[in-house]
Amino acid sequence: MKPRNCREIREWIVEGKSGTPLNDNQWKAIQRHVAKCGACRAFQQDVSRVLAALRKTDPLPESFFEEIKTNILEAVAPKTLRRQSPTPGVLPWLRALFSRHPLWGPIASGAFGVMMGFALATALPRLGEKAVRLAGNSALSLTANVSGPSSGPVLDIGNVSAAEIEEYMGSEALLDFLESQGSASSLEIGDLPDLFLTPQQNKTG
Amino acid sequence: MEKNEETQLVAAAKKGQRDAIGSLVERYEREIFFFIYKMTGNMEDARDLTQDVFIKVFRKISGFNGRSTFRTWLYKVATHHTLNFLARRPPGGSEKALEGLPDPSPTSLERIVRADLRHHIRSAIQTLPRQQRAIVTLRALEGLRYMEIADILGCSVGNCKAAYHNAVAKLRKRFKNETQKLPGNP
Repeated sequence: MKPRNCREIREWIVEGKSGTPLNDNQWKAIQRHVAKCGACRAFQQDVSRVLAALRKTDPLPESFFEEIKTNILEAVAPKTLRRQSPTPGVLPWLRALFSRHPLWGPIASGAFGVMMGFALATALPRLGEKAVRLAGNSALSLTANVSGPSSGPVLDIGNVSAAEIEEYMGSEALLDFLESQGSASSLEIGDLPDLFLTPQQNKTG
Repeated sequence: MEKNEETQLVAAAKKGQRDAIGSLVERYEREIFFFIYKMTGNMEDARDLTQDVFIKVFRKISGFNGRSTFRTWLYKVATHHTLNFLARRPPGGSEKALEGLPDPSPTSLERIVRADLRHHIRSAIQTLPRQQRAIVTLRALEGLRYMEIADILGCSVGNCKAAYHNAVAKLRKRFKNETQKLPGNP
């Protein structure tokens, strides 16, 4: 009976010292047992010292772990950042800006596309029955189709609504101008920049 | 660290967010380092293996499904990586490196004796079979439950428990032999 009891008590001692929660009855049984069993008392002391010595960790300078962290990040983070970044290779501040506001990328691309459309339109020698399709990285495209009143819409610009035309192109100035040119088979593109950029001046001037 | 907070960090780390990866490294690098150090007995090896383990973990983090905790998963990778390393290392390779960590308290005799005991215990760990070494380190040092250790090592809870008790008995025996040799002991 006693050896079996000692074995059970030692198991509890090891478990208790290793962090396994023991109930009150188990702790009391251990205390009662080691009070009268010298071998198990010695076992308990030894195990306590062994486990305490095992757990003891030596201090290391903070720089030691900082270096480990830096090495890990250098190996891991650049790769994942490249995957995450919407615009690799651009300036860091721009990358940070786009990562904080994901919609800014498409919006900026769209705006850039519209601006480029205007710039290209000014460079074209003639416009009638021509389409100018401008696209940035976004899906936004702009098509201007100018013709006489009998042959369809005066101005057809892709997915852009009439409200947007008013907002971006200076009220009704452009449409007025195009209607006034409706009988012509073609439109002098050289007139358009002033109209786009300073519609009021164009009207008044 | 709250479990929710850790879950968020892991989710952010999956997206490659550097801050989240850094936070997780800061949280666990010390315990993983000391775990590996106690398994290998070599500071240089422990540092390199710690880096390897974290790099491996973050490169495969998309495959982490949250079935276990991130910590348990980390220990799983660390344990297998270290056991593989130990299997390849020639025997006796750790003897010199056990002196790698500086002893911050060499002034009083009591501290010297205590440090000496630690040294003997660590030497004793190196004499255990690799699997037992892993179990002792995970259970006694890192406080993992048998269920977690069984998951990490791919064995039964009963086997883990038996191996642990067996290892503690061996360490105790070695400890008694060593302490009897220390000055002041009869």
